[in-house]
Amino acid sequence: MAISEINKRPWANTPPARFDIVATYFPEHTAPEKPGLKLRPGLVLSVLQGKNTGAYACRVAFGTKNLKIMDRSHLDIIVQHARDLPLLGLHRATRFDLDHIVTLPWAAEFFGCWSGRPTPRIGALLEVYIREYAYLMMRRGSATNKQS
Amino acid sequence: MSALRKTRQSAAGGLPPPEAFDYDDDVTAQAVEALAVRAKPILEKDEYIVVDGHIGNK
Repeated sequence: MAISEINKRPWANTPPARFDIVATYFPEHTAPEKPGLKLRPGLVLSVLQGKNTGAYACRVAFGTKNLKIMDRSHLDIIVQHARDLPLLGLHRATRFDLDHIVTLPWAAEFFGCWSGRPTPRIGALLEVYIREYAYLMMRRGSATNKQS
Repeated sequence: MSALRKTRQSAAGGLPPPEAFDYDDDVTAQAVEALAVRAKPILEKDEYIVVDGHIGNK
């Protein structure tokens, strides 16, 4: 199937919102002979739109079950409270890595639907984590300014 | 349990889909860079502006 055909999914015309959690394709292997793209949760940090085409793109932070709480709790958003997980649409404790953020076109080449779901949208970040994100980014900005 | 029944249960909010559990590996710079390289030719075709959210400091 051609990529242009794949991108004609109904959800491709409806962008996610900031702080939505969506299913993103992530390369489990970077070796060309093992492309191994798998869906994993991604946190939408901002939504962009093309001036000419009207196409959408998202800045995304990827999720991992590798929490690294001791090393990363002051750097990344970690969702681990059992009460919060279903509210976010997640089924396992997840860390969203804010070190590696990338802008991706909102298209079926980069986003996909979990089995039985009509769109890549899984859920949305709760207010408490949005506040934590703002705090983390402020700390990161402050640390960067001190270094320069 | 048949695959069809599993899919129906997932769609109805029963069992979570298998993708909900399978993201153990760490997020690596190499993997994210590989995605950025794939996205670049598509994003270069247009000028994108932020319509929801701002680009914060990192």
